[in-house]
Amino acid sequence: MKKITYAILSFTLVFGLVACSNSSNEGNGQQTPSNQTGSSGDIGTNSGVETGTAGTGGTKSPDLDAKATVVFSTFWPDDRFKEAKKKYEALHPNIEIKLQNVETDNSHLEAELEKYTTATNTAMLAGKGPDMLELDLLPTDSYVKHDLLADMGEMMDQDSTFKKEDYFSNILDGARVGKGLYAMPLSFFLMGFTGDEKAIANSGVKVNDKTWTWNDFAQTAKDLAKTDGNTAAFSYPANYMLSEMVKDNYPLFIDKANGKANFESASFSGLMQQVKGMVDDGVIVEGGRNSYFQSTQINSPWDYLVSLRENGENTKLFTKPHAQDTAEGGYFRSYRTIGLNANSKVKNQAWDFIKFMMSEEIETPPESAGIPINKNNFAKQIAELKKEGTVKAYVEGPLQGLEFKVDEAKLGELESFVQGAVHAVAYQSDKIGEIISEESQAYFSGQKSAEAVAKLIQNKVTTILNE
Amino acid sequence: MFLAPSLIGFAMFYLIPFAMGIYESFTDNAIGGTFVGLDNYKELLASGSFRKAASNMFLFTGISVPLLIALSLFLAILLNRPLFLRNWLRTAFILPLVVPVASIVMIWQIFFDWNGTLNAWLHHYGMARVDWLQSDGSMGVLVVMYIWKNIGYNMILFLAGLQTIPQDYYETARIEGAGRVRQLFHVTLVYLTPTMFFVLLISIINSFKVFRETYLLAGDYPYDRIYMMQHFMNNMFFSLDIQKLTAAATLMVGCIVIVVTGLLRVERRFREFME
Repeated sequence: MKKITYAILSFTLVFGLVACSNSSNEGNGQQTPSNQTGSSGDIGTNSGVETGTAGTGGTKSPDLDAKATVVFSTFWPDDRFKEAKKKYEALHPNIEIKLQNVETDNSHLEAELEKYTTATNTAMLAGKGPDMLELDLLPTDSYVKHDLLADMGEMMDQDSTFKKEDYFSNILDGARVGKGLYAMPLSFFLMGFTGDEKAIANSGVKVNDKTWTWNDFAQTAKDLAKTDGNTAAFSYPANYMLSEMVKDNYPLFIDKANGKANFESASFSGLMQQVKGMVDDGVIVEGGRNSYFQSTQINSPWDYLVSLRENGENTKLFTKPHAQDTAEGGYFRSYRTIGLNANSKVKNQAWDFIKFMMSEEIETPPESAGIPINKNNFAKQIAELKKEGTVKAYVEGPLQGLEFKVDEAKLGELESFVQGAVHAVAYQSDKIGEIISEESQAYFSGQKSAEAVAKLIQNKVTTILNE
Repeated sequence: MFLAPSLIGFAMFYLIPFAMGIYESFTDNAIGGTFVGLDNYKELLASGSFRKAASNMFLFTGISVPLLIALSLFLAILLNRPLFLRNWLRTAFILPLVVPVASIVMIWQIFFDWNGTLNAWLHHYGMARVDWLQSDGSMGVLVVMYIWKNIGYNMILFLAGLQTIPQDYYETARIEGAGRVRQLFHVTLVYLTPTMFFVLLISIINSFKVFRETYLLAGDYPYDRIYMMQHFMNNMFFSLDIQKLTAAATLMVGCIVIVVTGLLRVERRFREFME
């Protein structure tokens, strides 16, 4: 008897453990559909097929007239999506857009976000999940790798009503993964440097931001720092600088095909010493002191004017250096990025709604976060700023609510930056870059030797590459 | 018959999902995947990180379980005789079991961090700092933590086992002139063997669970010496690689089942021998 009890006990334990290692997999799979899409159990299979209500435009594909529900899942509640839903539903009474989002507060944010990501991941993997999702916080690359997202590039090509020339094609191309466009940016931010044009001109150092790589930039920065002992060239944390420089010379350190990292090498310790040297020589500083260049993110045309002004009257936007083996051009980060579930049954309707959100119907003021993907909307924002003539900075900001004149020439420059942004910056930082910047901190603060840090980075990156 | 409700629950939440997991491990995509035979396993075994994780797991179990059993047995024998503050001591050893993991980890983190307490002490005495969690000795930290956490539970099991040994045996042994050491090896340990098997089993399984502490302590990509099997699985899950994940889980379960059946068989042998 006792033996049997032992046997049962031990097997229960064994399976308990199995369940433990497996719960991340199947356990969630069981629970998520009810969590995420339960309310809308069978998406888009509503049986009542009503024939088209007349007068809603004739250029749509036929199935747009049937009754359908499109589930759109976002993490944050978003007024813009609510507004778009209202407008769209008014135009298309047969289609219901169901917005899903997570209600959370600051104290639970991280836990809720993790829950949302895991739940959405599993729902997507199970072939369920919402029809449309906001990808800003989700692992888009993994979704694409597992064919979970529909290619909107194809839809764009086939849709005769979609006018490509109305949109910033550089952004749309930059957002592509391989050939497919899986994540549609409704808007985007520009990543760049701000710098004092006059001071740089006075220093006599030639700055060529159109073509520079991080290596070039490091050289320029050194030259700049030499000219004036009191002004550093660039304010940027050293550990991030190092991580950017590694990205610049990626093939030197990482051999993805063979799963090999090469950080315990002379070239990496050389790079670390180079960056450390830049810190020691006052070429780069971390905040505080004056510097010729700062790193910045431009959220909107209005923000462009204000944040440049915050850094001084002669501040100009510069293109961010690019990695050596990539094409020339600036960087952007997509915002309100929408994906379309490859397993959705209402893809056409969802695409139509996405198209609607990209169109001129959804106008935004020049202050709102995100530069619109629609050229006409962008032009309208610029025109509005010009018409107003002045902008008022944040009352709580460094300019204390200063009202200043809109510089039309400067606004004109913005457009060329928008047109020139071709590289997408991932929303989530990549794991390898994270490890490099995290581990190198101890080196730059003088706590660990370069060898020790290089060894750690080598160790961890090898693990990642071999997974 | 009376087992039916629990059996249904067991099947629903463990057996069926696990069977699905095994099936998944032979397909190539979560949705509409086709049967690819052992490809996932081939890929899995080719992964250096998986092999690292597996060897780490065996190493950890190999070091920590014998240590834990020896220590907890020693404590149990010690606390089985009249001793000052005996009950309080027993309680003290159980306490780690009831403290939530997160708070334990917090303390350990503060203690072993690069800028933590231990390094502050070392620095104070003029010794070089050690990045405990990022060195080849990092597994030692885990072993200590594992023992600290599980020693109380094992001790209780051993105490219970010790108390079932009739005092007559010791008396007889004493009359026949057996010394303390002889009594320990020929009475205590022999009659403790069934308990020992049970404790061994639980300790092994608990040693597989050390991932939770490790993860909270060192994150998803720790130093490779403490990169455990579940790190691998966890990371696979987050990169949505369900195929590799399930293949790894299946292999792991296979190993555990082999170990457990082996143990149970040895125990049965022993029992027959005793009778």
